[in-house]
Amino acid sequence: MSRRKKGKQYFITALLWAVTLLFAAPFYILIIYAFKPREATMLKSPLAFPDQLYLDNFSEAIEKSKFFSAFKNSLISTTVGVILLVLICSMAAYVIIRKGSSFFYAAWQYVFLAAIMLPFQTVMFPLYKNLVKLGILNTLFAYILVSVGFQMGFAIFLYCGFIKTVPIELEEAARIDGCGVFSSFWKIVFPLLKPVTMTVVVLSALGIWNDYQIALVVIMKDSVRTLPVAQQSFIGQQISYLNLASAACLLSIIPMFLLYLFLQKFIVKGIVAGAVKG
Amino acid sequence: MKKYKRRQQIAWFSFLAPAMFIFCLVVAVPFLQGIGIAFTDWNGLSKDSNFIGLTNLKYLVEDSQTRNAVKNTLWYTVITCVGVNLLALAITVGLDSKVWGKRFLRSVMFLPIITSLVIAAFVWGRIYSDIFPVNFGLASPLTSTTLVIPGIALMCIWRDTGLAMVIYNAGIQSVPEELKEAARIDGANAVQTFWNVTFPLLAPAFTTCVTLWLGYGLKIFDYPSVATNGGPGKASETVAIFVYNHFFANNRAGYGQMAAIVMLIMVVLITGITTRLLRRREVQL
Repeated sequence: MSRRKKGKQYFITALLWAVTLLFAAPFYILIIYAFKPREATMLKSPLAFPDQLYLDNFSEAIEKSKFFSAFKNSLISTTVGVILLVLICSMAAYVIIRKGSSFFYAAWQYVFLAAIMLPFQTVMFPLYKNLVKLGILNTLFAYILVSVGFQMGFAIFLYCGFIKTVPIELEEAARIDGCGVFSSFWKIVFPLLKPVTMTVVVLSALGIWNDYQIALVVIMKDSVRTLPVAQQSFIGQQISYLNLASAACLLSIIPMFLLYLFLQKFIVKGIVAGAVKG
Repeated sequence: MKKYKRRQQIAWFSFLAPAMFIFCLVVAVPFLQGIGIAFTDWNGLSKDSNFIGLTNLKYLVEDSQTRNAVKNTLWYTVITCVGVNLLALAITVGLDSKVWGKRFLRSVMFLPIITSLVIAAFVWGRIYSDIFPVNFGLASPLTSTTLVIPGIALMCIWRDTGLAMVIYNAGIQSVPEELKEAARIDGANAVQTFWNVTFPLLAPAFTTCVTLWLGYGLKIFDYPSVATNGGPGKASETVAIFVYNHFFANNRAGYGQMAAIVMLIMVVLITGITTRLLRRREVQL
């Protein structure tokens, strides 16, 4: 490598590290705010490192924001929602691809695809009124249903792209050996879908865990609130207690951080399989 | 045999049935009901309403708030779509060379996406109102009527660039090394190699990303709602917030529903046309 080229490479490396540091900076601010006592967040040097680690913020934030109640609601709706999405979307995508020659199933593929573009606003109000009529407004059940309904389009799109690449011969062999439609799907096809299932898990978990708009409309009661809505109102109340708000924010990131840490490689793989090829 | 076939068909249908049921309940039925509401003067609360044809549409076109909301939404969409894609593309291409610690850098860049919009808006609110004045001597953009949209767009760029990078990275790994090697031997410099070899092969990823962020931008509700609640004044009120306020604050359900349908048409037209234009330019290897 020539000297000039080497110099250029150093320059690119330094530039990329600088950009990445800029992207990480907001986390630094969140973390130092969460560990400072209240007085220190009002001083003239907001970027300074905290003098001592002030852990009382966390216990106070947990107590005041009713953190565990919101955390529990988020955890239940995300877990149930993701499992439901994986089960029903993989099944739907399977029949859409395998029975693609039938007009009925092909039409549904386009319906689901079109739904990805649909703004929530278009159905928001009639949906809200229906939930009131059914008596399930302000329940986690309704929140899960609506979230699943709105995540479905993208999940089916990802699954369809992947199932196209799964060879049909395996199922035909199983069929000849006397395997029914159900068992050939669950025993043979579903395990092969693992990479794209992982992507659906990560993306829809992030989507439901961090969703604000649907939760705002479907859940208005304190006791069923999920984290983002609870946090928004907590931040509004604690506008002069930035340390508490930061601590609450930091705590709520942890589960998604762990999920990301463990499933990181699947995100990349699955998106390659689904989005780009599709 | 006929009975067997019937049973087979029912078995296949049962694969689609759960998804179909939830979809109809949550999306399809409310969507059709919404079309009915859009042509009435319903306030959203009373039992009865009158059919008023296209009057809502006429009011909507004449309403200066509509123009304001559309302008804000388009401005926001342009900044985020261009910002996210340029940045993600540049960083992906930069990382596709011998960079020390590139796996670590890629992981850090993806990290913002795990935060919720509420947290992103909170942290950036702190940056704008605490760090900007003290450390850089700048006023917070969220209090200015002209800078509030770019200020909010920056939050989105921070949070979404990592996700776009994942898609571009998937695309760039499918570019065969021999092609770049061949271009280099033919005397192409880095810029020429990028424009003539790498970028055409990244086109499918580019189309996907542009379409995705156009859609996200045109539908944006959360960032401006959480960060500024449409303010100062109505300087960051987007179409989605405009619709939401007509339903839940102004009690004009018929009018809001018409606005929502116009919003849908806007999203479908803009993303549809852009995708078609971009797809036509893609090359096949």
